[in-house]
This record gives sequence, C-alpha cells and structure tokens, in this order.
Amino acid sequence: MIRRKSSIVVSYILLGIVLIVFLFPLYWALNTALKPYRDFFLDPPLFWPVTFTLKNFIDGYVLGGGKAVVDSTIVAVGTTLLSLILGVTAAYSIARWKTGGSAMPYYILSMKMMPPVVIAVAYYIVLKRSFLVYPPFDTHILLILLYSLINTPFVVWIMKDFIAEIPVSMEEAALLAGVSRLRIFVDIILPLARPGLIATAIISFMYSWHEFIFTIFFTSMKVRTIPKLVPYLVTEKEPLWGAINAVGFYGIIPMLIIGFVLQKHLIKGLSYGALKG
Amino acid sequence: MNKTIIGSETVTVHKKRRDLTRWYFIMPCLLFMLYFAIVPTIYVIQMSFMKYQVLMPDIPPRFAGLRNFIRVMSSPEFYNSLRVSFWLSITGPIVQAIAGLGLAILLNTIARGRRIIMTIMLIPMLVAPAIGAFIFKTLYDYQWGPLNYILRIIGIGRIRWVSDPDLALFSLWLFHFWVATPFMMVLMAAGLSSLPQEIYESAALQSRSGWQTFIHITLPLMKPYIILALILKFIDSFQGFADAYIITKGGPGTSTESVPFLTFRMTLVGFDVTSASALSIIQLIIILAVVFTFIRTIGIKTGQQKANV
Repeated sequence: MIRRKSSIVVSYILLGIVLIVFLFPLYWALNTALKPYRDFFLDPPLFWPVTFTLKNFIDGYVLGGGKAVVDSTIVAVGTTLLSLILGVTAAYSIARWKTGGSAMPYYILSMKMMPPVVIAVAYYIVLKRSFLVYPPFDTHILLILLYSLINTPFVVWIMKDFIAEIPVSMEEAALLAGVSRLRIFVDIILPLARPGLIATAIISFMYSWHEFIFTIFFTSMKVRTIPKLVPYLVTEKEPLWGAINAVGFYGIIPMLIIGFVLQKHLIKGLSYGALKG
Repeated sequence: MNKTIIGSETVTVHKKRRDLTRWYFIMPCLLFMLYFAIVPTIYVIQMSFMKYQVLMPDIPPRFAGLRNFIRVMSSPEFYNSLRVSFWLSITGPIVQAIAGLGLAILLNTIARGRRIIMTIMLIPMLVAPAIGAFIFKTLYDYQWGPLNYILRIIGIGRIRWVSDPDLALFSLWLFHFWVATPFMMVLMAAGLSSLPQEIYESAALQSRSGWQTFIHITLPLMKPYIILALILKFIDSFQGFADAYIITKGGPGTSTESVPFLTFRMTLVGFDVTSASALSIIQLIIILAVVFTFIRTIGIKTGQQKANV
C-alpha cells in the first residue's frame, strides 16, 4: 500500500516536470510580450516581466494584428463551412450507398497525402499562366479553396463512419412518407451527426487557423493571416520581439478558448481518425 | 450491388427508381476535387516534362523529356533535402510516439487531475506552427535566449542552436518534439482506453509484473495505434515547412533544407517552376510509396490482432 502511494507521488512529480517543460516556451512568449523593449536585451535575461506593460499588444495591433485576426477568421470560417458542406454530403453518399465502391474512401483519403507544396507549385504555375478560371492571388477565396482541398478528405473520412453508425430505420420511415432525400439529410442526418460535425468543424477551423505554406506562396499585402504576419514582422530590420510575441497571442488566445471549451470534441476529432482508420 | 447498408426491400425498390441520388450527394465534392486538385496536379506533371520560364511567359512551354528530373536528381541539394526530411520524419515520430505512449501510461497511473493535465498538454497543439516556431527562435537566441542562459548556469556554456550546421537540424527536431508529443499522447491515451479491461484483470490474477503486462499485453494491443500514429506524423513531418522557414531559413547553408523547403526555394526564389514540378512529382511518389508500404503492414497487423482476440 505504501509502495503504491509512493509510486503515485513519483507519477505526479514526473508529470509535473513534463508540464513545466512543455509550457515553458509559451510562458517565455508571454513573458516577452509583457516586457518593455529595454528589458529584452539583459544578461541574465529576466524570467518574469519585472516592469509590466501592455504596450506590445497595442503595437501588435497597430502593426496589423487586428486585421490579421479578421483575415484569419474569415478564412477559417469559410474553410470550415466549405469543407463541411462538400465533405459531409459526400460522406453521406458513401456511408449510405457505398458510392464508387469500397475504394472511393481511399481515393478521397489519398488526396490527404498530397503534399501541400505540390498543390502550391501547381497553383503557382496555373495562376501565373492564367489560362483556367481560378481565384486570383492574394484573396480570401483562394485561401479558402486551397485549405478546403487539403481539409475536405479528412471530413469525408471521419464523417462517413459517423453517418454509417446512424440507424437507417428513421430514414426509411421518412422515405415512405414521401420526404425528399435532401430534407432527410438536413432534418434527420445532420442533427444526429452533430457530435461528429462539431469534432470535424473544430479540427477544420484549427487547420485553417494554423496553415502556413499557402500563405507564403499566395498572399502578400491584401490578405495577411496571423501565421503570415508573424514571419513578416521578423524580417524587419530590428526584430520587434515584444510586438511579434503579442501578435502570436492574438493567434493563440482564440484557439485556446475554442480548444478548452470544446475540449471533448477536439480530443475526439484528433483521435477518431486514427482509431477508426 | 448495394446489399449492406439499406436493409429493407421497399427502400431498395425506391432506390432503383432514383439511382442518381447518391451521385447528387457526392458530385459537389468530386467535381471540386477534380477541378481544383486533379487538374492543377496533372498540369504540374505535364510541366515537369517541359522547358518553360515563368519570368518569360510569352515563350510557350516546349517538351524537354526527362531533363528536369535529371537536373533535380543529379543535384546535391536534392539528396541533402531528402536526408533532412527523412531524418526529421523518421526519428522524430518514433521518439514522439515512445514519449507519447509513456506519458499516456503515466497518466493512467494517477486518479486525480488526469483531465486537467490532458487539457494543459493540449496547449502546444493549439499554437500555430508558425507562431510556435517563432517562439522557439527566441528561446534559441544565442545572446539573449533563456536556453543558453540555463546551459551557462549548469556549466555547459552557450550553444549556437541555429547557426551551427550540426546543431540546427536538432533544434528543428526539438521543436517538432514539442509540437507532436502531446498529439501522440492524446492518440495513445485514446488507444489505451479502448483496450479491453478483462485482459488486464486476468493479467493481475496471474500476478504478472507491470513491465511484463506492458510488454506482453499493452504493446501488442497498441501496435495498430502506434503504427497509425507513426504514419500520420511521418506525412506531417515530411511536409514540415514553417519550422525551417522561420527558425533556420533552411540554413546555415542548406543544412536544414527539407524537401518542401527546397521546392519552395526553387519556385519563389529561383523561379525554376519546371524543376520544382519535377521535385513535386518525386516527393509525391516518395510519400505515397512509404505510406502504402506502411498501410500494407497495418492491414496485416490488425488482421492478426482480430484473430488473436
């Protein structure tokens, strides 16, 4: 009994150390964001903000942090909606009729293995040659499209299992009563698939909020999401450590709130693909 | 044809009359993929066999045979980028999976506070890679960074985290570790909680030690999850870009230039879109080959698993 207790204490100590190590980078960012400029270049460095200031957060806003939050939100909401609309309808078709045979889910999933940089090079050439109708450089819609390309296969993959688990008896009754398929989909399937929808929506939103490579290839002045703004500020002559970290928190805080409020769904979304795959 | 899903015969009759419904539902997705993913990809494949200057758009592309592929595959940069990408995407996920499994098991040994620890460990995952990479860049700072300060206190002295070519790749690896280990932990915890409890009870009755239970029961049962986690993270890390772009800029020299980073540099710095296309095709083939080999392995493994249970 005593041995068991001591081993539990050891577990707590180990976990405590792990937590400290994994949280330290974020703590340091917060520490930097709250320090005045003159305190960055001290030896030894200050491990907590001795003189506390919010000036960096105001600077970050002035340098484009506010607009970046708006841009990121537009793109993330757009991506979530588009990839859920495309993905969930396709998932319904696959789950109910095995459309395209048993290989179809794998075709769609194999799109997920397409390296984003390949899509980026493809779009770069297509947009430069502009011989097909594609949305132009540096627009929200282009990012929404590209992100949805990467994200929709994931939505299909998760949602087909969710929908397959919904019993068909309700649908059959509705069909006999003469209700259209689209009505059935909207009124019966979507409400019943709600847990799956929330889980995939939060993963889609997070993917879009974090995406980096396409913003480097396809945006410059007009659209600047938070991940794009951060390195843009670094390349300035004198790195604005405080302001950049503050802008980083513009990106981190909304995602933290979403992640914590919907934690159960987030974990489900993260692990579901792996467990069902 | 469609025997399994819709059971009742009445519906089967209904379905025959409106056979197109299924296609109405899947068409938007397929057309979207076709027009916005497949068409550009075919175009890249075509471009990889062409001679074309993106800066001189008036000269139309001309057929060049395999010249782009030969140019890419005979450059030392290509092999260097393969080394970087494979090193990050093979050693990284293996260590992350071990750490993640260890943490998940550790988490299972405690009763109170499991949820709160899980919540806190989610945080690195909720930070965008670009922002996380920037934070690590400040941690790695030679002069003012806290890591070098700590190393100095314990007597090791300052380290050139980013500007030493031998260390820079490890610095990226460490960043990957920070990002991916919590994800591995979540996956492994989900896997552990799905294991049948009866097996553990019988193991306890046979009074096996914790280590024996781990080796003979937990590890074999967790194998499918572990392999899947490795695949997911292999794809992710092979395509890693934000880390190299922000922390090291591929440098010093080309010591941290991953395959995607080299592709990016060819396109947006060298404007050599035909070589970039050839490199794109090569990396697509590499990823598909590795993943399908992996999937084959899992297929067999999970089949055995079911037979055993």
